Amino acid sequence: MKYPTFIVIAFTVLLVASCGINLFSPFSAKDYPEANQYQSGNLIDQGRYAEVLSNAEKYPPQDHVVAALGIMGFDLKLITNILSQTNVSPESLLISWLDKKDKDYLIDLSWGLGRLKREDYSQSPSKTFTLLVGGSAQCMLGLLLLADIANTNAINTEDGINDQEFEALGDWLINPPSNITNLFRVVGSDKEGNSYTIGGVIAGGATSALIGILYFSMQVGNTNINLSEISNIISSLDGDGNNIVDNNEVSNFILSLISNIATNI
Amino acid sequence: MVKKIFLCVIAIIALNVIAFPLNNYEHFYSFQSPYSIGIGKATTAIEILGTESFMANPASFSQKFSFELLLASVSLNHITLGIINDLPSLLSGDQNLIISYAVDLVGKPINFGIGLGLLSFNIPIGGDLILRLGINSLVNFFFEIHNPLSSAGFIDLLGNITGGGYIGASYSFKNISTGDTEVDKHLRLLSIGINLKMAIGSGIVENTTLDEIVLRQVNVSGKDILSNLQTTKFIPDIGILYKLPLDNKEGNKQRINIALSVKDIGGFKITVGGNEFTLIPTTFNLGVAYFIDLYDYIGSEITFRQNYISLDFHDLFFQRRDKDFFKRIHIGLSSEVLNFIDLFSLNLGVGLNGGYPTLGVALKFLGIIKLSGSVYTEELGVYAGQDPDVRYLISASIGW
Repeated sequence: MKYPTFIVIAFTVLLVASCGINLFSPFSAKDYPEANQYQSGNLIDQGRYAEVLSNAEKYPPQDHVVAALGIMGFDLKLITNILSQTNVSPESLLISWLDKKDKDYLIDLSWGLGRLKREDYSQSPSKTFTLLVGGSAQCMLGLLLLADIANTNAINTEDGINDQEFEALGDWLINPPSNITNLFRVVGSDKEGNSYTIGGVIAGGATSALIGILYFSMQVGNTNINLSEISNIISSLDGDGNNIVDNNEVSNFILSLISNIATNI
Repeated sequence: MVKKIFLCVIAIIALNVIAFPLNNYEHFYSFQSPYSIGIGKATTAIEILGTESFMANPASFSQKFSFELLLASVSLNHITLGIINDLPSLLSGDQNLIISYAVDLVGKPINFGIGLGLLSFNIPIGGDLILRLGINSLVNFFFEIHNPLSSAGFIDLLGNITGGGYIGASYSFKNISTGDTEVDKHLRLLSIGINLKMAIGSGIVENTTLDEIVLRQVNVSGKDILSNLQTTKFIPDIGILYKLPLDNKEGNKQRINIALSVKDIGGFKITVGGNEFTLIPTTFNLGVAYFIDLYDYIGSEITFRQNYISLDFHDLFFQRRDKDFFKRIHIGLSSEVLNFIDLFSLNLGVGLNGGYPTLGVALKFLGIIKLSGSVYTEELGVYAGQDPDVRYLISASIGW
């Protein structure tokens, strides 16, 4: 073999070696639980959330929700920015990072939260914290959708909803009362065939967030939060206690929720 | 009866697999050198690389006296190089800068390794036996931050420091006479070997999750580190090598080597949080290598005399964490491009390390100074090609 040929081959290999290309990769089995779990964590670390969401059913439910949150902008950078702010209320922090374009990922988020709630999260602070953040995002996105339908000059959804706009949204819902039927508009369905209404998304998100607060507070031993009050709010979704949540109960729950948010921000 | 014993041995070894507290699925090795890595780690059946061959397979029999007085090696990846470069600004104490830097490091593995060998001898005794002994030490460090809300956990940390020595021997049956010509014909192509490695080591292996931090259940403790240091680990290797000549020419210008080595018998274990984990399991490694001396084709006495194409399959019984077939395949092409009476030599090697291309270079000056380097990629993921980590390894030694 001639020297120049050998040197060219050696440099080509050096170049390829430096790129981390794997020649056996096309032949490796890739679609099994252990590999999928590593893959979702890896994709989330790299910020490739869309790839997780495109095949979310293969990945752990926690990663499904984290990817949906990540694609909407809730990542480690945002968490560190939030933690560095000291004069903003927790309620504001939980909803201030959302805006109108995040509605595109509402179904992904709702589906992921549904899958996560079917897991055992009672011993896992990371799962309950994910429920908390995911649930509040889901609830807020539902409210943004509702505000878009309201389409009043009093509410500008481009930058989220502030406290006056929450009040205006609540007023719009009950004047005239027929506006409440908008709560039951279907906004989409996931790959498992679950359909989501605006009211379901708002109420479901709120209860997920409250469950997250409840369990996370218990897990970290936080005694500052009134856990019985939170339990009562969750229970109020089923106002008559017959274990069936009807449209009236959803409407009442959401009206009460909007009023509470407007008061606390 | 032999089959039953063999199956029992395999079953016992299989039970050795214990769940590993790290998100990293890298295949760790107890000894790595730049040139061996540069030829894709396909060295089980290559016998001419001195200590590197002995560490891959104790049966490697090369009847040359050699020694190394000092060997130092460093390996790191490009992330670590970048951090070293940015260290002055990070040490300024600006907390916001440090936090921002840490956030940018999410999903980017940091690793480095430092090796130090103090003595290494290959001593031929008679024509059939080679005695090998040496002292070495190794420091390994791996660190990666993940998105704390994902299922990967928050922080992966592996820190390991090991010091020890080895003593072993390789024996060739080339002069054996059993009285049976046919048996002797094959037996004389065989060599066996054993490497009794002893190590004192300690380390941290931990995947810290957000849950553990919040619930204050992080497992790392100084007690573990100290208790590991008090334990001497004994992790021998054994091997067998069969050299089949393909021609009748003097000096065997072409041959095929077939080899099997059993490495790290008993496994290299460390204790973390009261639990024992196997960092490196016992592995059966199979290798085949084709050797050709190109003198008859090129006509030069100093170029392309020792050339190998080799193929290895490491961990025949899938003892490592992942069960991917292709991560275990190693292919190498090694050539002694130039050798001027052993005073100056240049070896170039290329390979595939579990599918990733590798490149290795070994230079020898004045017969005693040896410099080696390699560019390679390790697989951190579960299957070949999932999560590459490109690394650089260089070493320098003084010896003959």
